[in-house]
Parts: sequence; C-alpha cells; structure tokens
Amino acid sequence: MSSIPQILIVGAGIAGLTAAARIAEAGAEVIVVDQSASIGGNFHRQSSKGGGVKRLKHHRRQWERIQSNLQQQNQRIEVQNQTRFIGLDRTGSVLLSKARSSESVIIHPRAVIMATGAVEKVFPREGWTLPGVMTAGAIQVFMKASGMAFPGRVMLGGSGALLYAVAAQMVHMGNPPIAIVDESTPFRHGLNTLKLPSKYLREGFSFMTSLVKAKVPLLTGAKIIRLQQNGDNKTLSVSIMLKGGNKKRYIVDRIGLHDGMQCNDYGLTPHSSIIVKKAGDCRETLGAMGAERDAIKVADELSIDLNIGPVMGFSGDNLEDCRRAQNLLKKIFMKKHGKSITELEDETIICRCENRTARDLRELKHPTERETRLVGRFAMGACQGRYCTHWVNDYLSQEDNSNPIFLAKQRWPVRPVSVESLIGAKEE
Amino acid sequence: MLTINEFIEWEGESIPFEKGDTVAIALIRAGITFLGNTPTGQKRSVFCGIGQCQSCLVSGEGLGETEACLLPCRNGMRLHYSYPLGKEQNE
Repeated sequence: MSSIPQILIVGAGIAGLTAAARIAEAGAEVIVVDQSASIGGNFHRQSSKGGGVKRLKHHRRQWERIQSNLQQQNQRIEVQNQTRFIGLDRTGSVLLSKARSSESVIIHPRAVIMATGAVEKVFPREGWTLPGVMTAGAIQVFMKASGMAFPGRVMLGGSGALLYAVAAQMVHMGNPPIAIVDESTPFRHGLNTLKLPSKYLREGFSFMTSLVKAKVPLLTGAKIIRLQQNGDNKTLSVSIMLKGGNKKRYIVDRIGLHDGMQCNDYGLTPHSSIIVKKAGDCRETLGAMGAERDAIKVADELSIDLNIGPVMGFSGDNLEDCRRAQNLLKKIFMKKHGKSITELEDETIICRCENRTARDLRELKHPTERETRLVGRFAMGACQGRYCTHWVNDYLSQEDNSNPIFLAKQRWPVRPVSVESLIGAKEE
Repeated sequence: MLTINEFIEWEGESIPFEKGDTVAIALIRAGITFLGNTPTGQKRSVFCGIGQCQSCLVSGEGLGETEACLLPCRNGMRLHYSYPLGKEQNE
C-alpha cells in the first residue's frame, strides 16, 4: 500500500471541493466524484451562458476561492463527473457507478469524506405529487443553471428563508412569483431578526426590498390546502386558506414548495473498517459559509487521523456562530402547524415513490421501525426515504411519544443502481 | 450573440436546448411537466431538480432509466417515457 493515502470525496460542491484542496495540500491524493456533469454542487451551480442569478459578493468570492484552491492542488485531485457513489461495505470497498453506462467499479480508498449536501423538506400536501409541483430549490437550480427566468406563472409556498431568496432571484431574473404563501409568520419575530449576524440581515433586507419593489403578494400565516390538476392537464389550481380564515384560489403553471432543509445523509451505513467523515450540509445544515468552514475542519481532522500534514492554520473552528444563526432563522420562519401531519386527509400521499398514503400509515397500529418499512412500504422506494422519512418519523413520534421510532436512514445503496451494474462491477 | 439551437427529441417532439442544459432544463423551457407514468401509475415530473427524488426518470439512448435533471442534452438524443403509458399495473 502506497504511503500517500488516497481519499475519496463524494460531492463536488462547497464542502467537497474545499475538503479536497485542503487534504491534498496536506499530502493526500484525492478523487472527487459527483453525479452531475459539472462542479459547484447546488449552491454554486453555474450557467454555461454566464450571467444568471445575482450572487452576493461573499458568495462570489467563495466560489473564486474554491476554484483557485482546487487549481493549486490540481496535480493531486481528480474530479470524476457523472459518477455516483453507491455504497461502502464493511471491508472498506467502495462501489461507484457511471451514469451513462452500466459500469460499476470497486475502489479501496484510505478514507471517505461524504459531502452530499442537503435536500429540501417538503410537507405532504394534497396534490403535491402532481406534475408541475416542484421544490423551491428546483426553481432556483433552473435559474442558476440556465441563466434564465423560470417561465410561466409560478407560485412559491411553504416556510423557510429559502422561499424569500428564490423569490428575490425570480424578481431579478425578470419573472417574479405570482405570490409567496408563507405558512409561518416571520414578521412577528422582530427581536429575533435583529439578533441575526449583519450579513444575514443585509441579505434579508435586500430580498425584501426586491419583493416590495416588484409588488409580489406575500401571504404570511396562510396555508396551502390542496393542489389540483386543471382540465387542461397543464395548469394547477392552488387552494389557500388565508390568515384570517378566508379562502383563495390561484391558477398556476408551477408551484415551488419548501418546508426547510435536511442533511442528505441517507444511505450512509455506519459501520466500516475505513475512516468515513461527513462534511458540510450533509453533516449539519449550516449554510454556504458554514459548509466551507466545516470542510476545512473535517479535512484537518482527517489529516491528523492519517498522520499527514500538518496544514497551517488549524483553528478548532466550532461553527457556533453559524449554528446560532441557522437556529435563529429556523425560529423566525417556524411554521405553526405542529400537528398537521396527524391531521392529513386519508388520501394524501406521504411516500411519493411507493404511493403510500396517510391512511396506509394510520392502518399500521403502533408499528415497529421494520414494520413501517417492510409492511407499510414507507421509505422503501427509489429515493431511499429522502422525502418521506422526516414526516413518517414525525407522525410516529406523535402517536407514541414514549417509544420514539425513527426510520433507519442508514441502509445502502445511497442511490439506485441496476443489478446488471452490480454484477458487472470490476475492481479498479 | 448568435445562438444556434440544438435539439433533443422527447416522445417524438423536437425540443430545443442551449449549451450546457440538462434534459430537465430543456423540458422545463418547453413547458413540459408530465414525464410519463411509473409502472404503478404515479406521474413522473421534475420535482427536486438535483438528482435526489427519482421522480424525473426518463429513458432512451440505451441508458435505462436515468434522471432528466442529471442528463446533459446532446444534439439528436432521443428520449421517451421510462415506462409505456397504458401498461401500468393496478395495485
């Protein structure tokens, strides 16, 4: 075995690329894999056309810094695009699969850093699986990647700071949202808002200014009751209950839903004979700047574990300021409908992949974790529970507080892989 | 700036794309939301946009099912529903 350790990093976003440059600087050889065709992850998704979404100065600087550090270490770093991390077994064998063929390869890195970022939470509302319903983040990714406004009549709904960021970006790109339905009441939190670090306050203020200038209707404390497909099979009807109790209906081409962020750490099995670390949003959702600092910290810890380096400037960053800011944002944008998961209509789909409804969940009386998955079929579909696990756990914990059940997130594969590909896997 | 459009073919229809577009982006530009059904009758569409939800699976070009939001457009590529319509099994 070579004395130069080979590190695998999964994800070429903020955390993945930052960790790659940092651990390469310490003397490791690095392979970074990413399922997409480009680097930058979701936050720094670039448009091949140039232009595109307006990015704040400190974010632009971050991307320049990341690219520059990557370039400096390019002798030691190999980026493989359109390559998926499938899983890691107890012997430390890693399975990677190529997107456009059925080729899988097995490699044996000394250590793995998972930098798979975050996924959005989306509350299971009636009609949320209809075509035309997307996440707010998907609307944002379109604008970033295409460099264009998202076409058509688009509504944004749910709760969370991201709704406002996306809305402001839509205004800037030339097609404002027809309305924002914010199920929380963020403007009641004046004192909490003032406690935010000044960068966040400036960012928030600039979003609100854009939205006010563009006269975007903002419905706070409202609730999206249902989404329905219209007869034309293209547009959607969105039924909303306003804060005062009145109902309102919008016809839209698309709706972007968002109910918070969660770590994309699904499918990562906990046992392995090699070192596995998580960095960035997949470890803890701390935002873009937090992800970079976390990646530096994780890379430095890994260099100590591998006895390489030292890298100057290990500061023992505890990221407490990022954490505090994120917790404040969560408080400000907290949706007040705590019990709504247990009040869902029977027919509402909770697990998109397997078409499992609220009724299916209710019919499982006091299930165990395995029963919920194997009998109920929740979180057993292609997305590995990324979009239903949170709500199923919520429901189960409300049913029985004394014995909280949490659906296991740790079971491979991290993402779907064909049997043909598995059988054909070759050692690299 | 001269933009020469290239095209993919979706369910027999020519869809223009710009350099660097994924299939999902090209289909969104074209106003297409419905991407076929799953074998159990759920409707496919672009949902998360980042390759995590597995909702936007399309087929063609010998790829098997693959996420439209991760698949870069190439001129002349032919894609279609991942499962033939009308052949869904009922539960």
